[in-house]
Amino acid sequence: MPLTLSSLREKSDRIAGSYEDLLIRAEDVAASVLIGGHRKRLPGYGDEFWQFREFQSLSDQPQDIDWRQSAKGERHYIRQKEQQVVQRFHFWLSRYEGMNYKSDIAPCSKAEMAQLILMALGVVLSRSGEYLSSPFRNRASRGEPGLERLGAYLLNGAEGQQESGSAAILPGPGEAESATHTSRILAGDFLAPAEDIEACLERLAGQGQNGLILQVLDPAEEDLPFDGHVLFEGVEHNESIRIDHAQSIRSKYQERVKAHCRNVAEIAESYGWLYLKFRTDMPPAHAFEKLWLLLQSLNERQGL
Amino acid sequence: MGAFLANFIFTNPLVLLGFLALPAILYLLRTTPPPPRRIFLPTVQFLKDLVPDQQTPSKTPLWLLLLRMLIIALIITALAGPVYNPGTALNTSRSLTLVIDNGWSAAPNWEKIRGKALDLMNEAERVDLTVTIYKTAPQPGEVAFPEAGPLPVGEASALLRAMTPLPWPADHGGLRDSLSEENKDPQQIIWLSDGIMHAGSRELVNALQARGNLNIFTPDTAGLPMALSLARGSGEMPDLTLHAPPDKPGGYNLTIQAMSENGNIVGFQDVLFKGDADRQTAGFDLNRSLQEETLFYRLEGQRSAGGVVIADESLSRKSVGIVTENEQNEGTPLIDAVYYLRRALQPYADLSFGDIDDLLDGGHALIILPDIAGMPIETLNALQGWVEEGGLLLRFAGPNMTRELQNTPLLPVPLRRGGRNLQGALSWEEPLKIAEFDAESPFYGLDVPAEVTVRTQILADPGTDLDGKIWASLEDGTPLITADTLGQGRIVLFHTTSSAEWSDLALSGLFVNMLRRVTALAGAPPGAITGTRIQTLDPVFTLDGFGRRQSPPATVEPLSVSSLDDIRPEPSHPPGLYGRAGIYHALNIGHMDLRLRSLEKALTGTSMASYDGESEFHFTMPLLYAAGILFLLDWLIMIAMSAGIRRASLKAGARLSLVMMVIIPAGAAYAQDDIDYANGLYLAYISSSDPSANAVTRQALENLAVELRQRTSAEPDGVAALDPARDSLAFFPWIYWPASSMRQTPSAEALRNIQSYLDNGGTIFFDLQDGVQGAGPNTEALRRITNALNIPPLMPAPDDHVLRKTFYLLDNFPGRYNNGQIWVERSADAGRDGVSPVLIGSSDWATAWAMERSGSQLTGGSRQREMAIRTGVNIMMYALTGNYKQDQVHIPYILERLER
Repeated sequence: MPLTLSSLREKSDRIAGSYEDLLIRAEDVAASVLIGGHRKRLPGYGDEFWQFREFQSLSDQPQDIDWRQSAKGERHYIRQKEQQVVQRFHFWLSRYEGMNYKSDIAPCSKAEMAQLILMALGVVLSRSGEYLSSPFRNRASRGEPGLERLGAYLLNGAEGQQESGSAAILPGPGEAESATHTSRILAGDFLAPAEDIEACLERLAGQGQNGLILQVLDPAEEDLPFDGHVLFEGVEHNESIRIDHAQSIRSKYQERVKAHCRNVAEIAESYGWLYLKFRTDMPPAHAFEKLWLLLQSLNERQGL
Repeated sequence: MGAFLANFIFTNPLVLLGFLALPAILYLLRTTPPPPRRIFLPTVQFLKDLVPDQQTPSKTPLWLLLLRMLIIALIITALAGPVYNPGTALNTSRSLTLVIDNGWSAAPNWEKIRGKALDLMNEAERVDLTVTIYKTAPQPGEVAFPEAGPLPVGEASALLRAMTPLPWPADHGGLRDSLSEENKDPQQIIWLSDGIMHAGSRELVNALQARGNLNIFTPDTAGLPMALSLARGSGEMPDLTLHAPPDKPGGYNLTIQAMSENGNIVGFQDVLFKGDADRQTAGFDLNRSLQEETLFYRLEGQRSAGGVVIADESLSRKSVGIVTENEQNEGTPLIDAVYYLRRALQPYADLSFGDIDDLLDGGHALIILPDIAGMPIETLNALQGWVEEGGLLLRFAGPNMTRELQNTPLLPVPLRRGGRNLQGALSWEEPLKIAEFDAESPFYGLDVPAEVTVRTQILADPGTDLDGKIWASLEDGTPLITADTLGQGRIVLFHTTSSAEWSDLALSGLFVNMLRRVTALAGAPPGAITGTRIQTLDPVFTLDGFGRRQSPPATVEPLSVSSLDDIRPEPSHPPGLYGRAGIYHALNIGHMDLRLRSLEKALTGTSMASYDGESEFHFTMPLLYAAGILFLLDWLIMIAMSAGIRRASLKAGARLSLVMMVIIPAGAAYAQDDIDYANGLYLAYISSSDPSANAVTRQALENLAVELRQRTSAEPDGVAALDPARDSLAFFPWIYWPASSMRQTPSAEALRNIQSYLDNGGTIFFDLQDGVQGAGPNTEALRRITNALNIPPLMPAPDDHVLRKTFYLLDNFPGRYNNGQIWVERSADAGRDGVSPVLIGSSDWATAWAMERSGSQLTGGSRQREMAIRTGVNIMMYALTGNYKQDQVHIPYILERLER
């Protein structure tokens, strides 16, 4: 059953809500480094008051003098604000047809799993006041409007986005807009050839963006639990392979898939990106916990 | 081919519509090999190059397609239930009427008829029909053709099971007349016929066809019944005639047996049945004395009343009653008067003993009164009445007679009181010899031995007219034997005793011959009966439908003497022996005017099926098997194809298997028998050139093997027929050598083989099969064989011989003949473990073993058959265990027997 916006929201709320402690720690994380709108305990540009300081005639502009404070004494003070970092999360979800694959042994399709995890992440981040953005209208926003836009993107995709074609396995150029302090969350099955993935990451990382690759796979894709005479058909219909004894090639196939996943992880690593792999037969909450733990490590890395 | 197709039906023809589905199946098959499961898998690129490129034929090859089509066609055909030569497929909507021939002519095929009827009952039960049964042989009693039905199937089968053929002919016309007319529902009628045209058969067929759908079953022509008849007034040889329908194929030997009253076979004759004629005389080389002993002539293999002919009084033994004081007293040896009479008459007459009243009721032709004078007046009157009705009363003088009054009735001549003693202390006369017989005397022609003298006699009253009454006299002219007629009967008086007390006559052969001639006079010739006071003849015994003797049923009526020769067997007069006062008349199925015609020939144009040919052949299972085999073949082909066996190796394999198929049986055939014989226990017999004798022997040993398996731990694996010249005898513990196989003298090679078998511990059981203790007809054949063999001296198995106790405790060894005696080696040779190399008997065990368990053809019945089997078991155990049982198992019983 395809998700609707409300059901997606409800489910992801439930997943996120069951991790109150995560939320609490999310506040901490927000308070520390990562997210846009969070103080850096340094004087700088921002909305919040940071300190009064004596006017330096050489470096300061006279119009910066806080006259109310200066009137209390003989010296001139200027009012400094705390440095604020503009940080946001950009979500991207692969939308090609393969994401809709759901094998008999999986409880949901890969797209559903990814939607759920991303939305839950969005909920948690939103509660801790982060800016969320997506290729959908491509504007960062926080709070409910941000979640709504995220949800709409996850379910319906960005307007004008090409729905089919192998290009959709990986984020296209238009979806990789450059913005400072943006963490990119890329979700998909990343079954594209390793060179394509590398090229894509190179492009994105070249824009100075860190990020996270969420690889969602169906258990059938990993394990090939089929026996006998099978005609396997790929996403493209001209692509099909007939196997007489599917069981006989199972181990070889599993090795290949593992190697590919390792490959993707290594590419991500080499660009400083995080990598996480899900199977659709994992409980979503469990998957989400793993994701959160990983994000935490990202925070710590950036916070240092 | 046309006939084949005509006899070919499908029980479920609707299934044949399945052939319409063949095109659809064809289409399905063409898309095979079965389409792979289509599985959408985004990771399909990882599967590339994992397996070598697999080429799947897009279409199944044509020959495989045809094979599969053939499999399906076979299955459809099989499910349609093809039946070749179908029996009657019962119509579910019509009730079933069975017409069953149950006259005598149905008896030879009775098992088939009843089996067919019961099969039909089974079928009727399946389709839930009611059954009406008509029997074509009239019943005795008021209603000749009672209509049984409509009955539920259960009752009808019970009725059929209890049904036996009746000993008189079927009456088709009578049945046709008794058919009620109002029953107009169309019926399906099945007529289980005996194959013989009876009176009114054609009319009955027409009537039945008018009532519904008629199917007739007949025996095939070889199974048509036959009858035997015996002409009256026989000469030196019994004048027997075979009656058979002319279209019964001939050209084979039939055996006619002559049987005495107590069931012993007194002779048999093989007759070549020529066929193509409705009658054929059958010469039977049987001497006069054996003829006199013969009561039945039986056509072997024809178990029907028609296959048995009773030889009536001219050929049969007279029934002689000897009056004794009490029934047990059969005469003290050498002293008693009765003793000599018994010894003299027993070979030629059936004797019974008792008081006068009993004997008068017994229907005897001759009653002997040895030295009996006094009797109650009622008895005297009854005796006189009996004589006047045609009885022959033979009296002997004696001490009692001397006290009798002169004018006692029932004497041929008045007697003088007191005896005439010719050798007393006070007598000066010498004992007298017997004079030569007059030409008028019945004894004329008999030699008078010179040493026979008469010491004492009773004299006739002088002065009476003795002319024509004296049958024998002494040298001095005094009468020794006188006779007179009384009414239709005769009274004969020996003026001396029947013992050796008054004369030597009773010690001589003359006495025997005289008694035989007197006996022959008893009972007048049948033609002479008419006009006498005897009006009716009572049944003595009758035959049942199978020709077995039975006591007359209550429904039998006495035969009227006035029309004896015109009476044919009918419900009130079943075939059998009728008689009164020594006058007998045999009523037989077979008579000179009997002409058997086969129904099939008479009713050309009516569809008939044979009991034998009709055996349905159901193709369902063979077709399914064929389909299964083809399916396996298909499967193997599929395996071969998917395993990628290359065409070349497949060809090589096929060639190899073809070669193997040819080679293996050919290679294994030559020694298979010997291997089998060496691996198991086989009962062996020497085969004869006569296949029917071989069949009997084989059946006998097979039965014996079954009994051995059931009773003992010896478990024979089978029966082997041996030719001593060719086969190795070494595998068999004992070999049965029936007389039928002794006809051809074994070759020198065979004799060497046999001798070697005997020398190395084998045992041969010779069975002379003639029931004769001394030198019988088959002795010569045995002698020809044994003369060339080194065989130790033999003796009859003594009472304590181990052969009598190897398994059962046996007192004698009955076979078909009850007088079983087996000759064994005289001195148990230690080297052979006490097993005699040769056992010789004559009781025809093979025939007894070959019979069914009831032993109904044996005089001793199932008991005798059982004893014959026990004999066989003992012989087998004797051959296997040797003297082991000499003193082992039966010690308690042996001790008990010794103590007794």
